Amino acid sequence: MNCNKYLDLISARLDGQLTVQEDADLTAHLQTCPACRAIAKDMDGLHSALAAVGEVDVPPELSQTVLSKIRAEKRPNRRRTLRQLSALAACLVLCVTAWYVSLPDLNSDPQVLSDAWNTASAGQTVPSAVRYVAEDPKFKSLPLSIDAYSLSKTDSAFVPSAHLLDSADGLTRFLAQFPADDLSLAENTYDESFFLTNRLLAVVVQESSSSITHTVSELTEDSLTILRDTSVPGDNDHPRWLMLIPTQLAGPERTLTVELIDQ
Amino acid sequence: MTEQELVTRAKAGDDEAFAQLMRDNEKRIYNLTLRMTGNPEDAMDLAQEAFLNAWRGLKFFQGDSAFSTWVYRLASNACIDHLRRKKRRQDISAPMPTDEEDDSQPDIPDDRFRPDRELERRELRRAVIRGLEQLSDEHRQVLVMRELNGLSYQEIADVLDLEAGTVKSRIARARNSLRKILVESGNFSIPPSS
Repeated sequence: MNCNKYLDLISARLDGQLTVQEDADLTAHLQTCPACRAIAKDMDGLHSALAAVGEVDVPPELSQTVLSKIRAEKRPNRRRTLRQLSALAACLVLCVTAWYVSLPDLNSDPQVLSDAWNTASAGQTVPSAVRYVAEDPKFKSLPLSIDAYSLSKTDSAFVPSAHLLDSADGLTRFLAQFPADDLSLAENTYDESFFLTNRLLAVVVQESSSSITHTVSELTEDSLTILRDTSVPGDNDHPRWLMLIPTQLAGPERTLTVELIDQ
Repeated sequence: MTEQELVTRAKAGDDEAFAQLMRDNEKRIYNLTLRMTGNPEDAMDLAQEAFLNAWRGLKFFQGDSAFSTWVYRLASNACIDHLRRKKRRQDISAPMPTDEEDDSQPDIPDDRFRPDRELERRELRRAVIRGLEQLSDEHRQVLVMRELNGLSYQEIADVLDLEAGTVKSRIARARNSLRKILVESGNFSIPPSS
């Protein structure tokens, strides 16, 4: 007799998940099958034993430690949250044209950029916007999460950029361009095991005065949109930002679009 | 104040509101990370990581699910990532079969549960905890969520992005795996002939 399907029913009955018909079927089967009857008895005992494990009390320092870290991140020149990033005034010295010009440079380091980004092109059809498009059959989606790091130095020759990193070594090389900043947290977070099933989208923008605000206006499964607003005063203590956005692999072919739009 | 109100305040930068959200969720989160790792220090680190990631990603929390579900998912993902890294460090390469691959019939049990004769309640509790630690990460994850954290099948499906039917099947196989571990460790005994 094929008892395999009854294993699910025996288990689901413990959780009150059986329909009336399923319950009747299982009851009838158990009357004729000593093996499943024994399993049902074992699982019933297991269910009780697990209930007896119970919950342990939380060490009081858990939330306090997190709060301390959150408050420390609020201080200048530390890793910042995107909520703060979007609220901060951020300044970009370079204009949209500079972003266009930057594309050849962006593609100049194949060790950092994936093949997908080597085919990236500016979205000429979008006025006052810059668009990078990555097409990757392994690309699945952007999660609704993002890490932001404030970087310490500005560079007059800086151009904003977007990169899709596909290995821990690639991330290390990418982060090496910011030698003045401690980015070990990023390096430790996104290690070799991360890249087995994920890639990392890295976007860098620069702010060096207090007349422009960057806002991440949209992060969906397949697009990231950053608004550059010159109408909102900001501050100038976070001259450059690095955003790291993990993406999952595997799934249908998708197009990833990263846009920087002037308002 | 409701969870939604706390989330709104936290999104606006109110860390006290976020602290309340942490207090409301920390027990379930910590128990998840503790039972997934079996190590209080790792559990503390991972619970903190989950809450920090929640704070950092709060702007992008759209409210499609409850905050409690969202942060629970972050914690669950943190645990799986941690265990994966740990396994790589320990060079443990033998993969555990997934429940979808396990099409074999349930073994005929040669043992039976006898708490009255074999074990004190405390001993059984310890045996179950040890058994949990021997399960595959995938099986331990669903059992902790269901049996210890009390999540419904649908909540587990939401957290793990699975179909409810898959959750049901995975829990059944996880229970059966744990049962077999307890049989092998002598915590289930041979049934009387009948």
